[in-house]
Amino acid sequence: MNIPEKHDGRSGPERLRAVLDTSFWTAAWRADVAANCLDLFEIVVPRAVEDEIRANDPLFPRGEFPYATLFRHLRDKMLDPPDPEPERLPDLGRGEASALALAQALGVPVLVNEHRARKLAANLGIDTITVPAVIVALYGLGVISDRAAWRKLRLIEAITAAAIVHEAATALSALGASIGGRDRPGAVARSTPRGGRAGPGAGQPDARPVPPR
Amino acid sequence: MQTKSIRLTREEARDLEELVEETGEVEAAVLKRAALRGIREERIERGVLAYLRGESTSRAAAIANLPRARFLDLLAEKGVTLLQGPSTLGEELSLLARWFGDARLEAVSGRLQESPGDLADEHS
Repeated sequence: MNIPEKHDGRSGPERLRAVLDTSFWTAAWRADVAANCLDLFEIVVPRAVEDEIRANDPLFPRGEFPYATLFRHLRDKMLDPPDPEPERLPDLGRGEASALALAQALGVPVLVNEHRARKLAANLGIDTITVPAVIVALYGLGVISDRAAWRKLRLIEAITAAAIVHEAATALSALGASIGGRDRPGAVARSTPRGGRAGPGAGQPDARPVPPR
Repeated sequence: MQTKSIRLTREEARDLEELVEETGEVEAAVLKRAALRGIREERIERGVLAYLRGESTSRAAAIANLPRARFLDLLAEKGVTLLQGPSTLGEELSLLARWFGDARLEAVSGRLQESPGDLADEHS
C-alpha cells in the first residue's frame, strides 16, 4: 500500500488527494456521503468522469439527475486534472480508463465503488477507497454520529456484498458505535423494497462535534 | 423520418383503440411513444444482463444507451450488487488511518486484516 506524500496546505487535518471514478460518486450520493467526502479528500476529477456524471438522459436532455445536480454544486470544491491528462488505459470505458490512468500517474488512490474497476485498479497497483470504508472512516474520525453511520451503511446495503457490509458493521462496533437499532444494516432492510431510492437529506442531522484527538 | 408498419391481432388492435380514445391523441403519436418506451426498456434490460454476465459498466451502459453514471444508478435501484467481495475494507481503512494519523482506526483496520472473524465475534 502506498501512502502518498501530503500536499494540502490548509490548516487542520490535511486531506488525502484521490482521483474520482463515476462508480464512487453515484454510490456516495446514494449513501449520502458525497459532500462529507470533501472533508477527507482532495478530489481530482478526470474529464471523462465529469462527462459521465453530468451526462443527461438522451430521451430527456433537459433534465438533470440528482447525483449530477449535487456534483454541479460541489464541483468547484474539487480539483481539475492536469492538462493534458495521462493517456487512458486501453480496453476500458472512458471514465474508468481515465480515472485509473490518472491515479496511477499521480500516485494517489482512486475512489471507486464497483468491483471490476476495483479489481483492475488492484492489478495495476493502485490503492482503492470504497464508500463503505469512507462511512467507517467518517465515524472513526468523528465527522458523523454513529446513528448517521449506521443509516448511511444501510443505504448501500443492497448494492454491497453482505460480507463487506458485515465487516463495515464490525468496524463501526469496534470503534464504539452503539448498536444501531433500526438503522443498523439488516435490521429492517429485509422489509424494505430493494431499489427504493435512497433519499439523501432525510432523517436526523448527521454532523456531530469533532471530539478532541 | 422513416415509416415502420406492424401487424396486430384483433385483440391488440382493440386494446390500442381503447388507449387512443383514453388519451385523446392521434394513433400514430400513441404508437410512437409506446415503441420508444419499449425499445428503451429492451435496451436497459439487455444492458443489465450484459453487466450481470461480466461486461464492464461502460460497455453495459452503452448497450442500455444510458450515460454510465445513470446506468450505475439504475443498477443500484434494481438492487444489483456493485461492490462484491473479497473485501478490501481493512486495507482501505489502514490507508485512511495512516494518512489521518488515527491510532484507533489503524488498530481496527489491523484487526480486520488479521482476523475479521475474531473482531466480529467480539462485537456481535
